[in-house]
Amino acid sequence: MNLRLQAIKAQAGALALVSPALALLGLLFFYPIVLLFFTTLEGDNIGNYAKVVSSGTSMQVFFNTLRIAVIVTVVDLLLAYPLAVYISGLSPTGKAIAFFLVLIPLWTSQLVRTYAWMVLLGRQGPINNILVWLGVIDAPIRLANSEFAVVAGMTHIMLPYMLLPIYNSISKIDHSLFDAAKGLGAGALSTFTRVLVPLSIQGVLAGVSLVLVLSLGVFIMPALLGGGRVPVIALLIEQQAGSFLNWAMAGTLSAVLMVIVMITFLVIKFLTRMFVRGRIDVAST
Amino acid sequence: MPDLRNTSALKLENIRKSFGRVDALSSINLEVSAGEFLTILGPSGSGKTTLLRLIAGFVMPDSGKLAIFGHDMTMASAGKRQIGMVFQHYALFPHLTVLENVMFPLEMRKHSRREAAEKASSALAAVRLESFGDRYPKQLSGGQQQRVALARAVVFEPKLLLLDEPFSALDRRLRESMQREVKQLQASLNLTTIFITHDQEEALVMSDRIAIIDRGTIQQLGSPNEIYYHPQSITVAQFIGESNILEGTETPEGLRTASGMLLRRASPSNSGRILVRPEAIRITREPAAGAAANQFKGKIASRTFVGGFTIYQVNVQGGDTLTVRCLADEETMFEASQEVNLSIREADCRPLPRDAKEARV
Repeated sequence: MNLRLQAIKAQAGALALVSPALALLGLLFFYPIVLLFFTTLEGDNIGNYAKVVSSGTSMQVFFNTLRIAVIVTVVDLLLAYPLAVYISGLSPTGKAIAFFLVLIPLWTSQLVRTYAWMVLLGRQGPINNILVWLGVIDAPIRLANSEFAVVAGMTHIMLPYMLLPIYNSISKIDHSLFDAAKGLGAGALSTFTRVLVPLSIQGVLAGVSLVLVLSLGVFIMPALLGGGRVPVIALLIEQQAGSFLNWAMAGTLSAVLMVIVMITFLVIKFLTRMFVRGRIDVAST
Repeated sequence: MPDLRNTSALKLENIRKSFGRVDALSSINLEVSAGEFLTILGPSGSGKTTLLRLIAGFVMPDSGKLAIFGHDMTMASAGKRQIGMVFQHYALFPHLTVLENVMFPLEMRKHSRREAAEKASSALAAVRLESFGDRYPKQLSGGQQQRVALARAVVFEPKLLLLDEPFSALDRRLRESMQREVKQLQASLNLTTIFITHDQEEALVMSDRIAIIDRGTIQQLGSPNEIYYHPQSITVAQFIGESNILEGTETPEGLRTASGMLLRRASPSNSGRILVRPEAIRITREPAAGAAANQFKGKIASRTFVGGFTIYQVNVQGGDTLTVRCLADEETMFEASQEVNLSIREADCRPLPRDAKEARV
């Protein structure tokens, strides 16, 4: 048979396999986005975009959202990396237990976890009680309804998304590489910077992009733990759509958020390319 | 500064190491002189890997002393020992190019980048890979990766070179050419080398001396010839080469086995045990003229043709079965159940000492 024909047939077969998923995504995802985009232009053409960009308040909220997302990402990275190194050195049973503990939060509803944080951080909550009992503070202080509460809660929720990709890339590293580095004269710091980090950078970037992007769109945590004091973009969108019934403005804010998320993705993709230059992919072995 | 001419390159004294309740190494004593190629040969689980990791500095001994060229290194970290090591699966850094891999130990020693690149290039030239510097390890074949690992291990002029079963992942022909190459490089650099393997043939080919290790102790230490022809225990005899081990009672003429074979031998002993290597037995159709001291009649039980030579199992009249190995000759192949004559020279019946721990029979 003609080789060309064979190739076309193979492609057609592949297309047939992905078409149900494509149809579903197109109908339920792509089509609504297009609809949303047209909503934003209703009546005022691109006037809504001009309003968002020129409004000090909404730009500040965007900035605030980005700032919180970055803080959460950095804190999670600092927590997850050593934890991933630690878990990769455990026995198989130890790993199973560690993963069970890490994954429990993913199996419980975000709402439940948020309420748990409200209890934990409340005026009569265990943290305030312990601090008073220790004499660190005289009277209970406000922990809930603050940015601290939002960041703490988000850090907790996002941790698995950071940990899993990092652990995945660390556990693939051949242990003899660390022996080799040691034997060739590398100290702990050199081994870390020259061997461990470069070989796990892909996992780090994957975790960073997941946590960053998910953090940009969080709603429940800032709504319940922020007590109205922590404005983030998702709250603003909800307000425009729910309270002011200004669907066009809500859509515009969403579109801008989407652009920010896409830019974030592209930056991380670029960084990944740069760090993983030329090398035949480590992850593929 | 100790006098280098009279100190051994590596000296292990009463080294012990146990993991939990398992004794991995018990009382290892070993001296390796400068420029020597020493092989540590043992089956898996014998303790040879622990011994290697202990010399490299990845494992610390429970007790004992380890010195490199007279300097006590018992508790020194791996990086301080100046040892180049080739790992079983090479352990090349996948994110660094070939050249960067070879530069790594030099950069860790604070050489300038330019000097490191120059030295690394000449090390790569020594293993004929000078044009591969910009590639990544995954883009090289197994043999090429091996040579990069070797270049990386010697580029910083280490005091010892350790090779951890480096040829086990290569196919047979590549392995033989790599063995030659390693041997040449080692000789040209006059580098003291410790080679770990479980492959007895490899050990015989490569080594100045062989240390046979089993159950955490060195069973015998000697040149390949000594190890092959004068094994000091049944463990060693069985591990190196093939062997016929015959037991019996000592009589004034020689050793008499339970089935009645009498084996005369050149050197007397009273161990009640004799080793005969399969290639030392002559097999003929008619009783051999010129009469070796030991002559037996037997019947061929089986024949295995291996190309260059043929291996026969022969039932000797009375009961014992001997393995005989002779050069293949198409004219005189023996068939199963054919009657044959076996002759063994006195000198080839080698008394085999009993292991110290073994109970006398």
